[in-house]
Amino acid sequence: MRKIMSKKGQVQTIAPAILSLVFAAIVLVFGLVISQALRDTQTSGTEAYDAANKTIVGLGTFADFWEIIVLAIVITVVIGLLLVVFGGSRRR
Amino acid sequence: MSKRGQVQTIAPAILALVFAAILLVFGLVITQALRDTQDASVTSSVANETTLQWTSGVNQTMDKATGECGFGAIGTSPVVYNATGEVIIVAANYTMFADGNMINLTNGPYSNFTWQVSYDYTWGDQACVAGNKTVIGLGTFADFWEIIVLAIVITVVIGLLLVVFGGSRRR
Repeated sequence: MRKIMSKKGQVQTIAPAILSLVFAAIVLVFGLVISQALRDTQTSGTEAYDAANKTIVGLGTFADFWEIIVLAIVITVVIGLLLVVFGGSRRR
Repeated sequence: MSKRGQVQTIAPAILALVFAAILLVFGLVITQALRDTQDASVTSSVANETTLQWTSGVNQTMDKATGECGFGAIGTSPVVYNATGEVIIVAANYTMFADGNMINLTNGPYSNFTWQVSYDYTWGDQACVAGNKTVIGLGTFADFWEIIVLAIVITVVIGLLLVVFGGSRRR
């Protein structure tokens, strides 16, 4: 009935999760590199430079949350695995 | 669920783990390489950094040479003033190296005082800082492999035990 509650299914969510994480990380850093290169085409102190700099700093704050995201994935996988075994007897 | 079925979940689990581990390390390598492209890409300036009190022959490292992400080099022609900022100290009294080290060459009136140093330096700027945080953040996943492995082992072992000893409860 509930396909997600299989051990195989639980463990196999790790690889896609890490793939998504890695892809997101690469996109983020690549985006920051490009944004910074674009910013540097402008003269320091101009509106465009300041706005671009704020954008880079704002985007960069995403990088503060990787630990929380990683923790959420790990908790999901581990708790999910344990629920398969210890929560299995409650099925009706 | 059969005993054989329980044990056979180990191989796919390990395969998934290994695949995930390779993905993680590969991602970290790529992200780090991307971050490193920004090293020394941006020039910034420091105005009036105060040194420690120092004497002739003593070396000091400028602040930006130690803590900045993607630090490249410091300009070797800084502008140096005495402690009060009133008198410029000419270049013959010091040598600034590109790695951020500065050596005091004078035993004159500027010895045993702080100096105010203004200089340019290159670093990686915000892209490097955020890239570094991303590498470190992704890297924290590596702290949890033991827990994940433990959860898999617990699942397999408890599952096996339940198959053997919990079999009589089936309706």
